[in-house]
Amino acid sequence: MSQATLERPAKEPTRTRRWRTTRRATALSAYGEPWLWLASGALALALAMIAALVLLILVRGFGTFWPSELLRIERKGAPALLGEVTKEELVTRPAADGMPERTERRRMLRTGNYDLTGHHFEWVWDSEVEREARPEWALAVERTAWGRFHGEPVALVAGERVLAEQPSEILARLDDELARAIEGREARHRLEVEEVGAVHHAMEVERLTLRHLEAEGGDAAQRAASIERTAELERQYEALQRRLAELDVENGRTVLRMRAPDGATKDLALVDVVRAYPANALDWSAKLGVYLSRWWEFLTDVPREANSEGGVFPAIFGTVVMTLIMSLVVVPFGVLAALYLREYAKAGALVSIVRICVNNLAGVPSIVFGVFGLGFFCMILGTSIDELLFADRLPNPTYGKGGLLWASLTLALLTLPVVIVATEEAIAAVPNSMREGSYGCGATKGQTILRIVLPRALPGIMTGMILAIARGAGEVAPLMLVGAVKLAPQLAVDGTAPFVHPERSFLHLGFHVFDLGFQSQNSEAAKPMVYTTTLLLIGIVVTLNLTAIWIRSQLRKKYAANPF
Amino acid sequence: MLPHSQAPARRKRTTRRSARVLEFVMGAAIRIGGIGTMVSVALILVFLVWVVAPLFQDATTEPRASANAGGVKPWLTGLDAGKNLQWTLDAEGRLQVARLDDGARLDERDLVQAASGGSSAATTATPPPKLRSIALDPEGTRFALGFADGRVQVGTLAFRTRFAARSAEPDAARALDAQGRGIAGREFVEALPSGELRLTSLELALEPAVQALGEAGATSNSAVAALDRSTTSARDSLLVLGERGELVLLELERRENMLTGEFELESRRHALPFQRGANDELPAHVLLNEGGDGACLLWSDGRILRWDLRDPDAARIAQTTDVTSGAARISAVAQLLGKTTIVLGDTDGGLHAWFPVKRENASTSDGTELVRGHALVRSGPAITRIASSARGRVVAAADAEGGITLWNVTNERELARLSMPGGSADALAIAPKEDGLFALRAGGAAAWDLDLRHPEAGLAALFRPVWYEGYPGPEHVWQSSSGTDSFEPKLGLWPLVFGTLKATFYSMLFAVPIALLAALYTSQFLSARARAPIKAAVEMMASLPSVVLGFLAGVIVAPFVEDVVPAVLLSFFTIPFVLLVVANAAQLLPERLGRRIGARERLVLAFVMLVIGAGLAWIGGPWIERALFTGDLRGWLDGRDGAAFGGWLVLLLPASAAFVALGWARVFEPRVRAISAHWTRARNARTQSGVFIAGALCALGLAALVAIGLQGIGLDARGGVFDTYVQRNSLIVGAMMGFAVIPIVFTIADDALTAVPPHLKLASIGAGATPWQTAVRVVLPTAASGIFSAVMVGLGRAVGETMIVLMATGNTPVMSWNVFDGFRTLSANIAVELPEAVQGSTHYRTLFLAALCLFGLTFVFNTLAEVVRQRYRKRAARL
Repeated sequence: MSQATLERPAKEPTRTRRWRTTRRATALSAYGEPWLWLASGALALALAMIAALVLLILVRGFGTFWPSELLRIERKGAPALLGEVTKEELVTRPAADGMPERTERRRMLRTGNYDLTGHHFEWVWDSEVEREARPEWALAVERTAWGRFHGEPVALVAGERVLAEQPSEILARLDDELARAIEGREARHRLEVEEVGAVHHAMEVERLTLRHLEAEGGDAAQRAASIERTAELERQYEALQRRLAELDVENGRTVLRMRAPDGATKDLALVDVVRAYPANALDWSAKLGVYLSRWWEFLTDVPREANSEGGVFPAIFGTVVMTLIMSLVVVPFGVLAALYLREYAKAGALVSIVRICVNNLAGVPSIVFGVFGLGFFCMILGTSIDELLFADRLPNPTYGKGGLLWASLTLALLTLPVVIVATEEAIAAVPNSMREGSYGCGATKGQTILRIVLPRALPGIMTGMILAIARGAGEVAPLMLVGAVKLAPQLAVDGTAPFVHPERSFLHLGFHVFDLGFQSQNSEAAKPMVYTTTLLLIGIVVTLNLTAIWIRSQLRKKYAANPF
Repeated sequence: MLPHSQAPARRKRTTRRSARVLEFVMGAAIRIGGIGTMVSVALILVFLVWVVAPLFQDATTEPRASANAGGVKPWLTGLDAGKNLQWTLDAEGRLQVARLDDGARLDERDLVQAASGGSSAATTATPPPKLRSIALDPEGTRFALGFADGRVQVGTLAFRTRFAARSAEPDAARALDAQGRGIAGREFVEALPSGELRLTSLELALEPAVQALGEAGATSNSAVAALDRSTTSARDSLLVLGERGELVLLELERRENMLTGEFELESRRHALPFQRGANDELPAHVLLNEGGDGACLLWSDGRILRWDLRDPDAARIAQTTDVTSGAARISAVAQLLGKTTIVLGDTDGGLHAWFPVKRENASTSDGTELVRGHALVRSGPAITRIASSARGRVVAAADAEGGITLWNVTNERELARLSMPGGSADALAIAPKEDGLFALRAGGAAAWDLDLRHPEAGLAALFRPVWYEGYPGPEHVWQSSSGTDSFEPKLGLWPLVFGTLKATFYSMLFAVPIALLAALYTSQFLSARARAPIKAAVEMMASLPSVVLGFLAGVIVAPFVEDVVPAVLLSFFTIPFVLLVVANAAQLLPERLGRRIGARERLVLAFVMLVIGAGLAWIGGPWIERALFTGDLRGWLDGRDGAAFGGWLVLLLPASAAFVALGWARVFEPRVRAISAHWTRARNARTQSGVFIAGALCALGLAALVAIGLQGIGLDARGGVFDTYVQRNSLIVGAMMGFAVIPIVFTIADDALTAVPPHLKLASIGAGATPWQTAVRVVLPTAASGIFSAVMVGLGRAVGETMIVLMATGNTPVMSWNVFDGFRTLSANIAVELPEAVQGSTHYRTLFLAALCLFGLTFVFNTLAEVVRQRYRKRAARL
């Protein structure tokens, strides 16, 4: 570079212009002021867009779980409402019913009580309002089904016995009773999942055995034994069903009697209640408690109410396991490919073409990889595996459909270029002098790569891996084709042999966002969940990216400090 | 590594075995793994091509053994789904079922005997009336018979298959021959690999005959010359033409008798007002459409009389036309599946498909016209028979010289050309699964195994306009599925490619100027300290999952923008305008103050201006809506009311502003500069501000003038770039895709601009150029290739983006440039339809083709970018 600088003036052709007298002032247009302002405006716009987006997601995402107060609105000629104000806007209403054109405020109330009214939300015009109040004992109850219930507590009843009738008393006892109800619910859940599940599994195994025997024309004694076993299992199953029914009756005994805002009373079985809090009587710390407990539920629990309530634990689990399998596949192969390209392949036209292609592969739309994954992994590989190993389960596909394994492999292909490019860069950054030094000491090529090149390139490889994981965690389009679903009853890892089920469909955070935001029946109720899920997803992706950037900067510092 | 303890003299010359093993293993692993990885990546392309290839492959045919069962001249014939059995009906009304390969007979029925009701033996004295005409639907199952005594009879004809264990059917098991086939009673038996038996037989169901013409039992009844039957879920419709020219529409309904529980056939007769000229021959064919609400009478000389039967009691003639040219006579007729398209073959060898089309200015009474949609053959040997497929749009046409040609009608693709040995075919049938063809002649038979692959595909069908049944003309249509069986999938990829291009165009229009200007500003005018966080933030934005952007676009931005469209439109003008105003205002400041505005202050001020510009748009939006769009922009867009002026003004303003600016810079500025060289800075600034105001007014005036002119000519932007507003539209996608594209373009362009060697810049500054002149005339040209590659990579991203367009557009595959309308892109289409597509179907393969298109498009863009970037690197290294 310095050479070029020195040579340059000599090359400059001399022109007569140089001898003209310089102007005293430069024309203003030479400063390009208008353009500069437009350019700075463009940058400002880009930054404002980012800021607005991040702010929106942060505010909505973090704000969702904060319990807000319950407002009771009595309307003219319509039943009273009790709910949280979720939206407020000014609308110009056209002239109608003898009223002139006017601008009026309307508020959206999340009223809950879907089982009574058929609405989750209701708009209220200011002109409809007769009286507003914040009842002291208004209770917000979150349930396992039917969404929320808003009302005032009337009594806490266990069977025939009334436990409490004063709101303060009810609230005082509610926590204990609720804890007991949750215990009952969990006991039932355990029974259902573990014991009933085990019997189910055994029945399925027995069914397949019987089918197998019949197809092979096995002897009658074996068949009879199998049928006998099936009958025994069915008896067990019925017994369990009876026990479940008994538990249901036992669990359903304790009831919270509520008065809905329109005056109707409703008994809520405590076993169906997830959380109940007196929204208007909470102080700051109690609100924080509700807020944190909701976050905890969100992170650790399963979704309910068509994914619009509850938690996203299965989605977190699916995302994590999928990216884990993906990186287990993509990193070794990506590193091998990069090593081959840098250290083994002869540099030439072919290698640079391959390199260009690998680079380009990073730009190929992700949906194309999804198409490949569906066509090749699910339809061809999976179907062949089914025919070879799981023929007795056909026509129900085992591997011949979308699943965790195929999704991971598809994403591995998708992120392969990222890893290859990053690793190649890292390997190229290892100074040749170090390699030569290693050879000079008598080390073989393999030893040099293993002990000199790879350790030095490790941070770069790590960066590539993290970038790949970040890309993989955020991709949704290919997953729609190869196995992400909106509802997966079973996790990919569970207690039934062989414990790991890579063929199962799974939930994914990104797909969850798509499903809730785009396909949900009740999108208004699902919105808060989408924001928090989005926040979570972005949090994961951004954290991974920041880690990659941090590692890269550490790497640069290391090399900057060390000329080798 | 060598142990250090050893003295050089005693150094081992051989490499340790472990090192050699390691060397070998590593070399092998890296080579195998590396090459394997590369190969597996290449496999993606190979696999996509492998799946797509059958779409373009030609059909294959293979002759197979066949025999004419009775040796009689056949009238109609058909095959079973397994291509083992044939049925033949001759003119005497004898229905025979026989093996296809050797003609061994399984079953024989006499339809005439069956029709005269085997209830009493007394009728044997008089011979049963002869069978005069028959109608069979395209599926080959429902038929209608017309007799000489004016009666008609409907029935169904179907092959039934059942499975049984060998032990359950000992007779059938014994009948099997060496190939595992045989005949047992009326059933054809086949041994399956699983050990079970498959038994196939023809099942014939006949309803009681109904008197269609004349009175029951009368001897003077006219015979049924021709008839057709069409079936809906509610009833059967029969159109019956009598020998003497009577035309009767018969509606048959099966009713359950409440008392006996038996089904009764209830008939309603409607005589149609058909009058034929005294010397006119009788129509040769009657054709009823699927719903039974339209019919055609077809004469041999090509005349067609189309009837409107929507109200059977007020039936009227909708259209008369002639379908042949010259002296050609119609010699063969068939209806395609759905009974809407008629395929006609004539004695000149012409083979044409006709169907009714709804047209706005139709000359007919019911607004539809029968048009010739497809001309498959124009001339050749006379067509003798046409058979249509029961599942698609394939027809087989036999000619007088024994040739048989298979066509797919919709895309006019010739699939195969076969030849029947020994003469022309009397009866022709396509196997139910379109995998076989059977041709029968009085003295012989011929059969073929067909593999048509994907007759409805092919380059022309996928990328050229195709005239689909019922459409007013050839069009690009993507419509892959529907509720009805007779639905024809329309797999024109062009609307999807168009959608992809539209999405790309609008998002690039939004993203590229912002990204490039921002990159220029960041790299050339901001200090390194300010640049670092900005770049990190933008790179962070690049890694945002696109599903998040899609969600925000579809659920938050789209409903928001819908309420403030005029303000959003206005903000495209106010924001740059406010920035330009502040640019001029800054120059008017005293020089000492003006110099204080550095790059960072400018950025902060730009933020403020952004807010002010948006605020102005917010306030001005409703005002503009009232002034230009009659107070209701969306109503205006619907084209209900208002003048074209407003739309043109909005469209033309950017162009006229650019024109005025360019005109100023090219024509006037050099002169002004020459005069103003000795002016003071303040005077210069004042002049420039004046010029700016004048220019702005000029641009506005010019745009308004042209807009008035265009309105005067009667042109309207509505119907083109502007049209009906849809909530999820291109505007939204363009803006939200900006989030995905801006960071990529910005980062790469910024890298390219930063990489320009500093000595070039320094030389330029040193020679007296301003920073702006340096940036535009030195840095920008040097980095041009890098910027080009940035745009290309951005383009690649925009083309393939799935989630944003999936969630932020309505996903309707329409072809319009309307900014306020949605579209469907290749990628979104794959995401929506592939999970539902049947593996191996045409639809499935076409979706793979869409994926291949995407792959190809992005690969081209990226390769272009990469090649340019490589060249740029070389050039930059030389500087």
